[in-house]
Amino acid sequence: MMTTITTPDCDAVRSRIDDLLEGGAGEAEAAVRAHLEACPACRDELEGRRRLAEAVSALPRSVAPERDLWPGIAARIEQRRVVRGVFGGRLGDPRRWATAAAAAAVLAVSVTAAYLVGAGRARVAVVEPPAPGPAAVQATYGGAADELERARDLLRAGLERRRDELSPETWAVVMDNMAVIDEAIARIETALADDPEDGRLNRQLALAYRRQIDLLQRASRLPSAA
Amino acid sequence: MVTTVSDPTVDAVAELVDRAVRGDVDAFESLYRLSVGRVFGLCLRMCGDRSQAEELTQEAFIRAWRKLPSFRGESAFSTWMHRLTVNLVLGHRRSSGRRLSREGSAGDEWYGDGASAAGQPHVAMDLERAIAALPDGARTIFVLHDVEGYKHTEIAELAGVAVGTSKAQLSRARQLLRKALR
Repeated sequence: MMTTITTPDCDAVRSRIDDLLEGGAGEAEAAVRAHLEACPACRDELEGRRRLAEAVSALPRSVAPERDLWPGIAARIEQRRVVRGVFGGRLGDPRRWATAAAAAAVLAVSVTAAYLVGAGRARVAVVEPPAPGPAAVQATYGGAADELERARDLLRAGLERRRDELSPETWAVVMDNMAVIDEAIARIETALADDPEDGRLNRQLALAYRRQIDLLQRASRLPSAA
Repeated sequence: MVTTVSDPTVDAVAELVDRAVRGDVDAFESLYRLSVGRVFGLCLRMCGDRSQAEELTQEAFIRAWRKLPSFRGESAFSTWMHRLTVNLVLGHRRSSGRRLSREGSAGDEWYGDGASAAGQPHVAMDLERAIAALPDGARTIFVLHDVEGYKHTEIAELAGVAVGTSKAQLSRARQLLRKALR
């Protein structure tokens, strides 16, 4: 009786080469190897991918930045530490601090909204920032804090780019209040570390970010002080 | 060039973490010096853009400072920092709306520090450039899988994609790199 051995075609073999290199191509391995024996083009492909894997494994995991990034980090940290002095140390009952911090975050935006100034004169009489309704709060709850945080960071970076356009007073008021809310966020996150699923804390965290976003948006809309 | 401290003992790092949690900025700076190369390398390879990698690296450490109280020492600080950075870069990509499409070529912006791959500096440089020039989605998954050693299931969870998508992007990335390096 005659046995027919079916070998896969080149496309099929090339789709299994990565599997082969990573430890095995399963049931098809024998057929893949048989094809490779007979096909120089596929052997060349196999060799190329092997060389790529070797080169990747030799890449350094560590790459030094060309400039020292620490001063920028230290400045942002120091900003937070100044406010921490007002609120006390990092230690204590995190849940109690989280509640107080959340209240401070609300107060910070209210005060800032009333005192944003530009070009040496009272510029904007901004009303109390609208509190997100229940639906909005619900939408931000459950893992969206990172997205809000990122949105906040993008806004902050945008505002920092036009720092020279704002009066020093405006800049100081905005940054002071950002730091107050930063501290609130830190407190809430510390409390969340004990209970990551706490719905109230998660809502407070999302609200704190929203307060910062609101504050930054208001500041971004201010005209140039020049 | 930034100076880094080499070969710290586990206990020394744990002590630095402990001091940093209590608000010691000097200790945190030491942790920064120890980790910045890994964090920056990860950001640079994942986003393919040097200035963006610098911003993300700074943001990663600021976020780490804030989250340090939640670090419980169940994993090494370096592992915790690595995961925090991956989440940050992926979150940045999501918030800036960059998914699987390519937005501009960053390959020419990559200029490494002369580190070698298999003793051949030009091979490492060419490979770094080729990685930076990959489409966003393929580059992210290639870096996480082939450079950083993540499994497809982990990548799928982190990046919010299907395991099959992760595999397909990796295969695409490898093919493109082979073509670029020929």
